[in-house]
Amino acid sequence: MSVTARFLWRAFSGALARLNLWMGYASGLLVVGSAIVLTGEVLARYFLGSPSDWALELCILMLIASTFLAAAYTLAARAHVNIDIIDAVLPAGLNRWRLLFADLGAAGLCGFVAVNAWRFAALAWSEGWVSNSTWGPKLWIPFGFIALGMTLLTLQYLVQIVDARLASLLTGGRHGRA
Amino acid sequence: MGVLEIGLMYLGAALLLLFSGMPIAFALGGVALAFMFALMPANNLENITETLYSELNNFTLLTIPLFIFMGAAIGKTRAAADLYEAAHRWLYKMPGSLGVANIFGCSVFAAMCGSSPATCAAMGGMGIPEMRKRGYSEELAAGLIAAGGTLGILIPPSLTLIIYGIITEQSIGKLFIAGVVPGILLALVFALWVMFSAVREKAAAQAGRAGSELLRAEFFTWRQRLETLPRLLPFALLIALVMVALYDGWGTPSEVAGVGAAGALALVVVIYGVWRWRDLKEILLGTARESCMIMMIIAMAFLFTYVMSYLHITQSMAQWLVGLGMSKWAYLFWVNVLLLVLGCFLPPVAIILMVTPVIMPGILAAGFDPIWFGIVLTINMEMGLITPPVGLNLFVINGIAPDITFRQIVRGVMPFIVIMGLYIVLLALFPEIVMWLPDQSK
Amino acid sequence: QQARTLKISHQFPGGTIDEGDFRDRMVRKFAQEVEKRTNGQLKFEIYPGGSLVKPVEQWGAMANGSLDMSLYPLAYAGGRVPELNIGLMPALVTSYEQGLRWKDAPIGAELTRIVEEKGVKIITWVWQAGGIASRGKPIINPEDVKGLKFRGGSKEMDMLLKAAGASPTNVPSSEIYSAMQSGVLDAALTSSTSLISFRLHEHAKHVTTARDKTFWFMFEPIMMSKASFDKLTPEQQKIVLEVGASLEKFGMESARADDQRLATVYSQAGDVVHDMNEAAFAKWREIARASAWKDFEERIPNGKKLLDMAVSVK
Ligand code: NA
Ligand code: NA
Repeated sequence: MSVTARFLWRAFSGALARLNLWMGYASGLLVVGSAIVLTGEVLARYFLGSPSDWALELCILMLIASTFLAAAYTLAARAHVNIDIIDAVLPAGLNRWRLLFADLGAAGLCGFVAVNAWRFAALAWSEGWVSNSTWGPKLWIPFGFIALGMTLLTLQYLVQIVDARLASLLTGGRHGRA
Repeated sequence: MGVLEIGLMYLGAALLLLFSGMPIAFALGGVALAFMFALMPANNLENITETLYSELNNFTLLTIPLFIFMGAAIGKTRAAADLYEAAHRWLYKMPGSLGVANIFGCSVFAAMCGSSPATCAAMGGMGIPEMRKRGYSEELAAGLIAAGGTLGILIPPSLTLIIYGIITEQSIGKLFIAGVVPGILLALVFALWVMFSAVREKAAAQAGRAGSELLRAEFFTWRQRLETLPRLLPFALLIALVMVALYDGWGTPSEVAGVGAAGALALVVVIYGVWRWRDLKEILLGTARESCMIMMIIAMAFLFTYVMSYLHITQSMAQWLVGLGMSKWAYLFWVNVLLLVLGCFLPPVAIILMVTPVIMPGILAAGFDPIWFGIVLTINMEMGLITPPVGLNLFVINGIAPDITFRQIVRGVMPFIVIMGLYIVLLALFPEIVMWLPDQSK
Repeated sequence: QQARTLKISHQFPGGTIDEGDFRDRMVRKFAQEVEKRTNGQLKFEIYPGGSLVKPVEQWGAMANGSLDMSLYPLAYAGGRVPELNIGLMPALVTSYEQGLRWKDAPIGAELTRIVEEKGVKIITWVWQAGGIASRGKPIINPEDVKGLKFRGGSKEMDMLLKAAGASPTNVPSSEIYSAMQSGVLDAALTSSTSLISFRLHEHAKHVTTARDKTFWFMFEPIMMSKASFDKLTPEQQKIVLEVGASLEKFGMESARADDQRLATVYSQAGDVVHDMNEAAFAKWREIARASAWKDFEERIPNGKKLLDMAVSVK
């Protein structure tokens, strides 16, 4: 790789890492937010007798956003659980190839879902789909969060494949675990 | 190619990807996608996003991140340490006392929420570090929380029993009542096993590694015991708040989980003074990581389930079993085997939706009480939550304690899986254990 | 000609062809009869309880052709095709017979056009009535709901209840039981069959049935993906439509039988059973006109026309 390419790559992966960390905070805050909204809803209904018609849906929306926004951060933090039993069985050389293929497969899935979700979000936008409830939030919002989250996740996989898997195959060293 | 061959290939491919080292969520999604491409009409690919969305568009799932947050927040403070120190001082003479305290903690959380991963998340975040600090093996600490967490769907309220009740037209109230005695008894059996294991680990420590934390000779005066009590007050208040909110009808179990999480936040900020960004950000990121991991598995598992259902694999397996025309007890046995096998791969609600309509007529014709069978089915589903390769509670533990390997967790839950299998046999021999309490209310 | 297997999905409890939820039985009867009349050229796989596609999403799956058939509450698709909310408009349909006459009236032709434009075909016209389970006092007239935490279950019903002075409360269907038990809900409104299968009689004190009048009529036809329909031979299409139409009587009679069974089940559980008379219905309709109907007319370009067509069905 040329020096410029390497610099650009570093800039890209660094920016992605920072963005994903923010997404991690956002995801945690969304969980806290839904706890607060739910508590407010419960109190308003029980003590003031005035239930809301949007609280539950808002919380579900926040939950979906929270899940997908944190996906790439969770990958970077190596917190997407996997089964690591094979690790001890195969020789190190084979393991490097195995992890590369696992990452390529997962990246393929995530990329496919991301593309699918963007198309679906666009469809929901152009058709004006809403949730059929009194509050009636627009459906492109949750689909958009799925699309955004899966895109970030795919990019994070790309970084992981280049920086860890390919690098470890080239140098023969071990970088990180699955 | 017949449905049977396709089914075997599907599960085989799932095993291959699961063991390839790919994260569980993406392995499940990957197999589903590959089989969609290979065997299903292309328009199914259009449904992927909506399938993921429709699974997460579910209010009761919210309890999982909320309880994960609760566990993370309380685990960050001295509250958990205080709680376990108190349990330790009061119960230190009893072998395995801390483990037993954890099993009972799981039972209390089970009575508050209808979901097993949520129970596991709330208890694991606090319990596992405390047990390891006091010398418990990784296997025992992880295994007992994973297994104790499964009580969430047996001890009422229970989401699984609600779904079963609606599908089989059984009284949900009666199912709830029927779950009480077997739930408490199972917790007691777990506790006995934990005591036995703790004695064994202590003996092993005496034989080999001297100086283990388990061997530390201790004595606590009554004064030392009593002085722990005031520090339990905030925690007791939180539990009381949730219980009152639940049973006084402030909200449904899922909504009350929100009250509990907000209460936990207030508790750690106001009483334990955790308000600095440095501390809060760890709670936030921990919550984000663990709930994202679990929710992604749940969403992708639904894609996996969708393909399995579309290819009619699950339903055909159940129909084939029904068609064999077995005797009463053989039928019950093989139904449980089928549920157990499916439980290795699929989440409980999906299994109930796909399998019960097919197997139920045979269960009724054989003269089994549907309420009793609902409890047996639920215990079987509990096993599925801790059987590898796909067991949600195993993953919750892995998220909470990343330095415990998956293999250690699996080794830790094995005895509990055996216990639950034997427990089902016990309930078959003595159905009164289930039916006694509901029969009283007639 | 090779045999085809069609997938039918629905959200209701699964049973057998002779026993259980009539909506499941109806689908099984359809499958059996079509299979017989096509000499096994058409076979069916039935997915009850939402075990293939989740309830709401069945519409999208039929529209894109990945799901062949469903017995589907049409108003669930109202978020995508707002006109379809007319399938659960409060106090619009006045009786089973009048609902079934939509089929041959202008409103039926218009509804058929709208769903076919989206890629779905109506095979069997089915209406089902619903009632109210309540923990506190009986609910017959609009003034009875004042201040009650009430689950309407749909946007239009919530509008009506709100206009009548209730507090519409959003509870997912899997939690209605717990909500009625703990008092989160004072009352719930849904179909007679679901009032029975959700087992709310375990916690309710009163039930208002649809034996006389009700403002809750839901259109839940058996539907087929147009893509799947177009793949059938003309002979098979004819059989599908004929068998579909032949089941309409069974649907109406079973739905009506469930209105009666609702009364039996709840009274056996010790609850008081009530009915809604013409005068109470008229009051509800007045409120519906000013709330849910008005909103439908204002939001949807041809909303007023659709409502007028529906009302004009004798
Ligand atoms: Na529970
Ligand atoms: Na499992």
